[in-house]
Parts: sequence; structure tokens; C-alpha cells
Amino acid sequence: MSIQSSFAGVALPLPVAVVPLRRSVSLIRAKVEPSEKTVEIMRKFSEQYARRSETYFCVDKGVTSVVIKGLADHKETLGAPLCPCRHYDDKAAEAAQGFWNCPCVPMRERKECHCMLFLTPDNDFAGREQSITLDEIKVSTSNL
Amino acid sequence: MAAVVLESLSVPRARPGSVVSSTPRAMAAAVPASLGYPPAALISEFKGLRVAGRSLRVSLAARRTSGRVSHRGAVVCEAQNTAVEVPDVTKDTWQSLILDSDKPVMVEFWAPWCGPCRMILPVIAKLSKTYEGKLNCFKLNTDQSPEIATQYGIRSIPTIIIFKNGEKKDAVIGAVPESTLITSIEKFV
Repeated sequence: MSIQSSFAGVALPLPVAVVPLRRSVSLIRAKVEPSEKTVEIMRKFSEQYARRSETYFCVDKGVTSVVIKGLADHKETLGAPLCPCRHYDDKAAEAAQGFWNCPCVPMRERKECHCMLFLTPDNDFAGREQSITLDEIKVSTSNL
Repeated sequence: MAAVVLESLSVPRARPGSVVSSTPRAMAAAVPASLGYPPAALISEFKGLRVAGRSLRVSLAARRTSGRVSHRGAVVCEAQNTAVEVPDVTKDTWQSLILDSDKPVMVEFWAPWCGPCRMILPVIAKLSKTYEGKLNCFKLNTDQSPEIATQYGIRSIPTIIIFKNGEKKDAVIGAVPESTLITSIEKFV
């Protein structure tokens, strides 16, 4: 289909712009992000609890950030910060029961955190920090 | 020789969105080992990728038998921090990819907001390349396919299960070091 135009009496066919076929995106991220307010709440909780339990964050703050966001996500959807590193048959029931609500019973009793959020000083992955900023969380989870 | 190279070139092109950089490995793999032609010459053109030093023997054997060249071995841009992507498996593809697989399969059960899962994903990716042709590696999102996770009694995440002939053979729980995974894998490959 061409548009005919004339210039000095000579008909010139004008090409119609062809929109390039859009490639479908091969990777679709369906993850919903928790709100910043809840992330901030869980961030403060994590810092406070690390100090209180004398544990430290992971050397890789990306791990810490992901877990904090996971806790925030569960807090928003279930009302309680259920451990993000476990699989549950019924999340709502587990949140109501409380065993796996952060800080979970294994953490409270034996300082065992398999999420690697709270690490005892003797752990190979323990860093030396007990604090993390909201910016650090945002930056290290921005590529997810 | 040219015909062999061209034939392998067409494979990655067939899939839209695949990166051209998957070509060199396919090219190298398409060259039969019996010819004695050093595939390293083909690989060396693509020095930008971290493909150097890999065991070419394994990939050579794999490519000949595997029909799904681009699916499993696609090399992704380095900006994503992994040279190899571990493909996903869902409840819809579980039967065909895991249970009906002729080779042992390693499946990582992960969750989006699990920190340790992020730590071991590069390890899984590396092992999938190391054992290419002998072991298939997949990851399953437990949030998207909870039925499968419940079926196999997954509790702690990450959990890595090795399947052989459709049966669960071994389970490794937690973000373990690479050596632990290798010890497990070696029992079944």
C-alpha cells in the first residue's frame, strides 16, 4: 500500500512506515513487591533482633535483603512475617499457629536461622554488621 | 565441514530471544570428535564469554544426543551474573522433564524471597554445565507449583532432589557447598 504524492508533476510513491514486529519477552516476572513501609518495619525488626540475639547479617547483604523483603511480603499478605525459606501446605494456618513466624522457634531457642538472616559469629557466612539501610535493600534486590 | 557448521547455526536461531552467543558451543559440539578438528579454534573467537577451560568432551557428547540444544544450554548475557541459566520446570512439565527423563535429574526447589536460594543458584548453574549430558538440572518455583513441592514433602527451602528413573533418590537440604552437591551427584551419574 503506497501513498502517491506528486512533486513537480512526477508521481512518487511514499513508503508507509512499517512497525517492527515486537518480540515477545521471554522472561516474565510475576512477583509482587511488598510496600516500602512494611519493608522498613521488617528492616528495623531485623536490626533490632540481630543486636538483641548477638547475631550478624550475612557477608552478602543481598541474602539479607531478599529475606527481609520476604518477611515483609508475608506480613502484608498473611498478617504475620512467616519464614520465607520454608514451604507450607497452608500458609494462613501456619501464620496463625506461630511456630514459623519470625523470629521462629528454632531461632529463639537455638539461634538457628536457615534463611541466613541472623548468623552466629562462628558461621562462615557471618559478616560483622548488624545493620542494613533501606537503600542497600533496594539496590541488592533491584535486579530480581 | 561447512555443512556441519551451518546446520548447528540454524538451531539457536530457531528460537526467538535466544542469544547468538550460544552458537559457539553448538558449533563446537557439532564437530564430531572423530575428525580431530580442534574445536578450541572455534571457541577462542568468543573470548568475551566465560567459556574457556570448560570440558569440551562433555559438551561434545551431549550435543549429539540432545535434541534440545538451545533450551538447556543457552548462554545468557553476563550482565545477569550467570553464564548459564537453569531452566524452569512446572507442574505441567514435571512428568515429561523429570519423571520420563532418561538421565538422572537434579531439581532445585526454590522460592522467590528465599535468600540462600540466590546463593546456590550459580552453583547449580555451574554444576549443570559440568555434568552436561550426564545430568539434567532444573529449578522449580514452589510458589508457582506448590502441589509438586507438597508431593515430595519439601519443607525447608532450598532443597535439592536428585531423581533417577522417575524416583526420588537423594535430597539435599539447605544452601550447601558445591562439594556436598558433587558428592551426592556422583552417586547417581
